[in-house]
Amino acid sequence: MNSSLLLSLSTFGWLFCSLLYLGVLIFQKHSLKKGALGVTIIILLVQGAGIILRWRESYELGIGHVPLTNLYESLVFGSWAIMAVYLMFVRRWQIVGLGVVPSLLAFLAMAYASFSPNVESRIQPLVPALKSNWLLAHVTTCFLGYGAFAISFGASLAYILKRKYEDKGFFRILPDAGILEKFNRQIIIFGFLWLTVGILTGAVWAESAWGNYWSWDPKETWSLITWLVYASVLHAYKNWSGQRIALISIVGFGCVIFTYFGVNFLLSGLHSYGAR
Amino acid sequence: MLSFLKRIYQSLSSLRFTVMILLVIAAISMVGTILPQGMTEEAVLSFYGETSWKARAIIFLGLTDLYHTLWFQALIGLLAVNVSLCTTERFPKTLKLWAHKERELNADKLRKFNNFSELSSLKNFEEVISSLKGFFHDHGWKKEFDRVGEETFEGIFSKRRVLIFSIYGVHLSVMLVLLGAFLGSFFGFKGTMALLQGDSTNMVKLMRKDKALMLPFEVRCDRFYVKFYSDGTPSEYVSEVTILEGEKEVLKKSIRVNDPLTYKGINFYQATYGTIISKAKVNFVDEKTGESFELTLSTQKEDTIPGSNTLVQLMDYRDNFSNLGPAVAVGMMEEGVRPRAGWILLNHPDFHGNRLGRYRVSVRDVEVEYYTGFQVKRDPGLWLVLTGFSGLVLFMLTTFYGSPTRVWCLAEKHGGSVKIYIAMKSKGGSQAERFTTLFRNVKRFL
Repeated sequence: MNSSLLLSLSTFGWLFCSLLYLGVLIFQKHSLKKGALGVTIIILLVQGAGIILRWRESYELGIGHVPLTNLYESLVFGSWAIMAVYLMFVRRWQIVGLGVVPSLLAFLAMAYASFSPNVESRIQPLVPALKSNWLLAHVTTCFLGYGAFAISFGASLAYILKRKYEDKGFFRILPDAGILEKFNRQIIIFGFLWLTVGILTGAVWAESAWGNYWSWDPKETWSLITWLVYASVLHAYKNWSGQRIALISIVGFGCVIFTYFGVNFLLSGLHSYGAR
Repeated sequence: MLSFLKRIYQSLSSLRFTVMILLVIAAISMVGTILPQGMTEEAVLSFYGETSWKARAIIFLGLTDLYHTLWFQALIGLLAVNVSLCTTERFPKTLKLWAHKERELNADKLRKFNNFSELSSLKNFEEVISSLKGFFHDHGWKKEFDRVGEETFEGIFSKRRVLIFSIYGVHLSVMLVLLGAFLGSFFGFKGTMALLQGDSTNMVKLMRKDKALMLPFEVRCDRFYVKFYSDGTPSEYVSEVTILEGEKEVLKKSIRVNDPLTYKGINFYQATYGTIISKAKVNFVDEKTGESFELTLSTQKEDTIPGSNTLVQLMDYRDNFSNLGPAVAVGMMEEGVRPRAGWILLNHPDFHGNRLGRYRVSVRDVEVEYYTGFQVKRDPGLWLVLTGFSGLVLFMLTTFYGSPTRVWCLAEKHGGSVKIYIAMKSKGGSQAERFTTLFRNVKRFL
């Protein structure tokens, strides 16, 4: 048993899971709901075990470090975080069918990590800049935020469709717009809190490593842009319509994606180790 | 005039303005990540063309150093103004809400609250009152006010009510961060220091200024080295340094990435390193005569190839030249020929480019000296920034998840039974679930 086997399993697991959630959305069967949630928990455990195993394997290679240090490892953890956050919220909100979006995103992240020739999946030694206890705190908190925003993206999309088409045809199966709106707000609050912690731990780390808590590096700047966009969403609840808020939430998730991929591939800076 | 000022004040202290300024700062920040930062004016002109309007706009607006332009900082200042005005506008209201105690409770008033329920009990009045009081006390509610009349009982109970001020904590923390950053850039400095192994200096080259600063002490680099993993990637950069006060050695330390040195409030961080060549043994083979000469060249002065007027000198060194491994640049001056130089590859002695004039050249025994580069800074605003960071996280947590609550409770005698009304105010119905649980518990308790 090794980590790559478990991680490949979870790749296909998330695909299967997203089909299950689609089934939930279409058929609204209670047994399907239970099944989808059960499968989610199982894959989370499998993938979690894969991540921990990879951690151990890095120690066996003599270059032991947390598996959160390059694009491959962050994609793996990112897909795990999306579903973990989703599972945290789903019980309270009873919007199981919405799981289609996060599980599909989790699958895409894993598929990209596993099959793209641009992504190096080998365990690599830690570059000097990353040798810090802040690494674990910084990366996990950022990804909790990103995960929440991915779910908010799904909720916003569903909300806009629901408001536009009401209960016509296919859109009948989407959750109630009022619930989606409230849920979206809670998930954005959660994401915003963790993104804040992520940015701040990054700043404190940068201060202790390079003597600069803020240097307007492209990644820093884009995380700030993301933060500002969601901050404006949180301040707009009084004045803006639900649709506009949902739209800006989608823009916010676009910023998350750009912070994560765009900056790595299109712009260069302090976070260059994220690109491979 | 007065109404104009009032209008400005109103829009500056509005939430709409907050949303707008946040989005404007976000949009402008994007520009700075797309346009390369730190380009010189000449570079901009040669890239876009001397006469192009783009180049002029970029230079006029300072877009190559966007985040440090006055107008960008003014935007952030505007956000700070907005936060302050919103606070002065809203804080008194919150304070009033905090101090406000609803006396004279009656059922009609309570019915208007967004969470309201009622029940009746057949127990006698005194028993109900003591049960109610007991319930709230046992469940961790703080009594704010109660009054027992002949036929009525009024009570207000609360939990974590002080947290209604959390949002001010969040905004205050943001202001602290901005203030700390301002203090740091105003009263501190940031720069770089480069040191050859064995050398010492007190000079710091200031960032974004063509100025240097002399520290009141010297830093000597005793040794710089790079540790490598077995696959050849660097694992650690280490500078062993000594702080000198005059002639006296006062402190020794190894500076690594993630492990800076602090002395007299000034911090030294491992930022970069590099190599410069000092000496190398270079072999010249005259391809016409087959004669071979071995010389030890340096960067300091020229040497002459014996039996000729040809002068040679070391020029430069690269660790990894075009992915072909280490290479040394050798310069050559001959009479009647333009001076020339060539890169000689160390690991590929047969490479056809390893020649200069009529000589085949090979290099061995390169002596390089490392230099190390520190980021040097003093930041008197840092403690404020860090305080702001902690406050931001703490108060966000209490703002979003603290859920301060206040419950109004009224019991009235109605013939043989007692009617009990319970009500709670909450923003946007977010606490409906809590209220339902509370009401269920009260019911069970009675």
